[in-house]
Amino acid sequence: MKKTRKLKNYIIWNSFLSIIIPIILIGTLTAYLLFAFIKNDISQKNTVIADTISHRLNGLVNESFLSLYQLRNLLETEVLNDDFQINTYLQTSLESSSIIQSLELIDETGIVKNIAPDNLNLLGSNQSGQSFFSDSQLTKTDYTSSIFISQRTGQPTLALSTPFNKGVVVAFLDLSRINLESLGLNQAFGDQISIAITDEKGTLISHDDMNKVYQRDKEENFEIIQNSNTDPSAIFTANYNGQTMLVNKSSLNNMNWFVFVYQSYASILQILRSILGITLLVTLLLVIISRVMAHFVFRTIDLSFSELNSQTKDIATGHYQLINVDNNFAEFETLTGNFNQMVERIKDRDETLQNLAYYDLSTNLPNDTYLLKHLEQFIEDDLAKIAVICFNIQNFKRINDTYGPKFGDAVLQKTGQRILSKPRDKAFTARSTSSNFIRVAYNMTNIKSIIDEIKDFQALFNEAIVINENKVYLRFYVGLALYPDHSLTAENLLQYAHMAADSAKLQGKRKIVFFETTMKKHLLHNMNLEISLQSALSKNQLFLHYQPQINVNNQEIRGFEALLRWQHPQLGNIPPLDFIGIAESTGLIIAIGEWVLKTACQRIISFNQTMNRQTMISVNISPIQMEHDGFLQMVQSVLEETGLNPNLLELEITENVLIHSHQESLEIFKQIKAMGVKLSLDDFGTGYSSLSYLKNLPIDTLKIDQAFTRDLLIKGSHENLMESMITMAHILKMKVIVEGVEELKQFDRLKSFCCDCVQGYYFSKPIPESELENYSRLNKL
Amino acid sequence: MIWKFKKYRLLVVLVFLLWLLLSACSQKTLSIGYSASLTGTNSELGVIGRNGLMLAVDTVNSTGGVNGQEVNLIIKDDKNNPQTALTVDQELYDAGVNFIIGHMTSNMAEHSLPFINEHDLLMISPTMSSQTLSKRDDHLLRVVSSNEAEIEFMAKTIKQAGNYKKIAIIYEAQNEAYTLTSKSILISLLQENGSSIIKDLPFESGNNPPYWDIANEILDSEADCIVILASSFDAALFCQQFYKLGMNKPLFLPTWAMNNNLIIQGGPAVEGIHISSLFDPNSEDPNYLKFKENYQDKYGDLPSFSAVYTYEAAMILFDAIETSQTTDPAVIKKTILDTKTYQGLQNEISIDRFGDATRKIYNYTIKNRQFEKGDE
Repeated sequence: MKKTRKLKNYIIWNSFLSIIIPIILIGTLTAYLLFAFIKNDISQKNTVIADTISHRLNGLVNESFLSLYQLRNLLETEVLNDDFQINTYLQTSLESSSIIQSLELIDETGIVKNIAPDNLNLLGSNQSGQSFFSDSQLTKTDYTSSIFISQRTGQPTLALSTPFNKGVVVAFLDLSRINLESLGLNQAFGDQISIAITDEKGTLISHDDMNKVYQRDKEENFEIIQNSNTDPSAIFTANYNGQTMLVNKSSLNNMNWFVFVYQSYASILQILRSILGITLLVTLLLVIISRVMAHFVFRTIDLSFSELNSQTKDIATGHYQLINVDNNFAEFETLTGNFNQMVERIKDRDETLQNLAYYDLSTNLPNDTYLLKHLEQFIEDDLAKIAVICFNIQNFKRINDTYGPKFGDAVLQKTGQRILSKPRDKAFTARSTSSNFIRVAYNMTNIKSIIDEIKDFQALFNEAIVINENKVYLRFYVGLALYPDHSLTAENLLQYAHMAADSAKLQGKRKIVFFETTMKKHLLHNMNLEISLQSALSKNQLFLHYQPQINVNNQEIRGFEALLRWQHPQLGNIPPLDFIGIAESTGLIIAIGEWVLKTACQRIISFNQTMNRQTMISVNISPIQMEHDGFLQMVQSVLEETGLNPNLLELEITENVLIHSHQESLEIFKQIKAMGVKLSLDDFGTGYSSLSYLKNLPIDTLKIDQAFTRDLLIKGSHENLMESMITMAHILKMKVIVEGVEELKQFDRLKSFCCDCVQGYYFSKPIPESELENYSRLNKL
Repeated sequence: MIWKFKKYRLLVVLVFLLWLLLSACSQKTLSIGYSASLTGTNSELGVIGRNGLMLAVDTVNSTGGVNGQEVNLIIKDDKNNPQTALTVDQELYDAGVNFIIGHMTSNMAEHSLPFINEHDLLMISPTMSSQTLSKRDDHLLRVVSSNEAEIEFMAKTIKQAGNYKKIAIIYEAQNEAYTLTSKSILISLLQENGSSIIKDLPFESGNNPPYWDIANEILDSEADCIVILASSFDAALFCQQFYKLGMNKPLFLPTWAMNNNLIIQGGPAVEGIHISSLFDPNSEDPNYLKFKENYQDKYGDLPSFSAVYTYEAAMILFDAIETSQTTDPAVIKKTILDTKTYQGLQNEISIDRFGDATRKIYNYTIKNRQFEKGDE
């Protein structure tokens, strides 16, 4: 997973680093240069100190020599010519000198003739072995000794000697005084340096630690310094007791003495430390300033970011609003512009998707999804009362059948336009199923307002819809359910409104039907039937009754029509009208239809065999069965299995079969006919079949609906209609069976119309299968 | 692979440098102590000995140290005072020192030796020769012979020089561990020869001793010869007093007084004196000649016996540490004792089981301001 970081931290850190890194680099370089500068400066200063001490020492030594020269002159000029004078002079000279601790006058044989201060041990001793005597005597020049233990003091000393005409005069130096002189200078230059003075062999003459002098220590790095330091200005470093020191050296004029000035590196670092302290302080200040500046810089950016974040968060939650961020950065402007483009595109896309999801393309009205969603919202908002009104277009099927499906679509489109033209004040209308429109009106105060709402809707269709010069007047079956009176859920309300509309349709009246609980019971009843029907076949609850069809001329049995019956264990006999529709809607009709066909065929074979007759059997076929792919195969199989002569089987179809696809139906009819099976058209006169297509159907028998039989004797016009239909059928080479014959008069009249066969209670109601033979025998038909 | 090496090359180099740095930092040093009188009139022995020791340290460090450890020399001044000697030994012990070269005069052993023994240090003395320190199984080893041998040699020299019967002895009283035992031995030996000590005069060095008075007292006696048991500084001054008094009686000095300062400070006054010398200034041994050359280069002076003996003491110690590969004083002592003989700069050094050495003794005199070896 990619690691992310906060912009604020990024900016602050980068600004911090952009300051701290250059400071570190510059600081390091500066510290290095500063160190080199300070080192060089200290070295120069210490060289000056060393030279100063050398100069001072030179002065002291020269001063001592001058004392010796004066003594020499006095002796050679014999100004001093006896021991008393000489001793007095020596004592005086000694007292006037700052560094001479002892003076001696040695004769040419090396015998100490005079000495100051008095020293009995040395007076008269022979010093000819001492270099200060022998060298001076021999070379006749001044001499400066190396350090040695003084016989006078038992401490280290240096001897200065100069020859005179009768021997040598010697001055012994007090090293502690020399040390004091250098210490004085040392203190004058601060306590960061230390000073050492050595003789030509490196033996210490003076040092801060005089014990080293008394112990005749050598300067620790004398040889190394002497061998390496050819350039007087060179900076030399050496280690002393584990401490690195800067060493500067100076030589005394005319003497092989050396002055060393030491300063530790630590003192340089001490100087640097204060500078580094200031640098650190400045760095800290800069860091704080950078932090504050970064904070302010970021705050400006952060404001833009926060606003952008806040608005994009709305977008992320689905509220696609255009971003309007006021900021000072061009980058943000571009970003905002890009976001807004994206938002526009998303909104367009969502609108399209919403249209597809929530609107019906035929009418541009909201669809079921929209309907359900909004109805649920109204309920959630408790916008009582809510009226869910179902408007079902009356006879829409007929319009479709009459003018074709495209016309029907155009009608729906116009319907949508008219509905949309109505202001959506506290209401909206959706298209539910094909010819159903649901209007949802909320905040209804009373029934009257609901009725007014319905009337307003119906008023939209007072004028005919004109399509291709065809005028259609739309009327509606209206059913409605109310929230919260009838239900608290959207689904139920919709269902109840549909039920109420269906109820209105059943009642066939142009009135408004309010949902009633009984409708719900009816619905529940149907549901129970549907569940029971699933197992009715396997539980042998289904059986067939047979109604005889009587030839009019000889009043013999032409055949029987097989009629399905259902003996429900709890509900008793269920009328076919109550469950056929359920069987069709659930698809159970396929299995049931096959069973009916097979059972009827077997029974008529049994009957014919028993009665030695060629009686026909008529079996009703549902349009659903006809549409099923295996229908023809099923009929063929039943015929083969039962062995029934196809000519004795007549399949009764209704005009509904022709609704969906006239051409496909014709093809199936032809194949049925090809099997030798006969076809009859049931319930003729109740549908909308026209004579134009009737003539093209391969129908053998036309069954005229009992409705015509009922009215036959009431009006003369009805008789004419019956007669015309029979005549027409005959013209079309069809036999005619008239259903619903219940009286002799009806029979006689039909006979006079040359009707071929009749069927009805006059001859027999449908009878159980076990009674077919008895019926035939008893009635001698 | 090459890329990877290049990538990590800097890291490898840095780690290596760090390792070198840490190695350098963690390199141990071998600290040894040196305790001697470095100030005052008796300091010649200690100062010259220190110079010899520093040459030894320079030599061993220039060849990589001892077992790879650089030798760090810690020098202490015992001021020829036994109490100070104890103090400085304690300081050395506190500084983590296991080995002390020193002290240089026998009287320092009084407090120092018990401390050394108690704390299991190892002391190798170049010049403490008192017989009282002999035949002890202690933590003191010596590269110098017992003063018994030296005094025996002196007694023999006196006898050979003139069989003197009346002998005066001047001795430095502070270093009584050496001078008193020497005197006692000498008296005993001389008495065997029928000689007698007619004068027995102590003095204390460094406290403006009455050289002149003592010399006059000797002069007033009937002594045939004079034995001075003192350092070169004091001996030279006594000789000067005798010179001033015009006394030409034979003078006999121990090795203690034998260094160039005796000649320089004594001048004609020390001509002809007899020295029982524990070293041979005129040795032609290449080791010694090399040492002498180095010493002169460094200090501009000739080495004396204390320089030679201190150098040898240090070299014996370094050799034992290298041989035993340890710095445990007990092991080092055992190693030295087991080795028994070492080749010194001039002659062989035999060390017995008590850590007492036997060295060759030379008869020296001063002629024409030079040490001159006499008959052996």
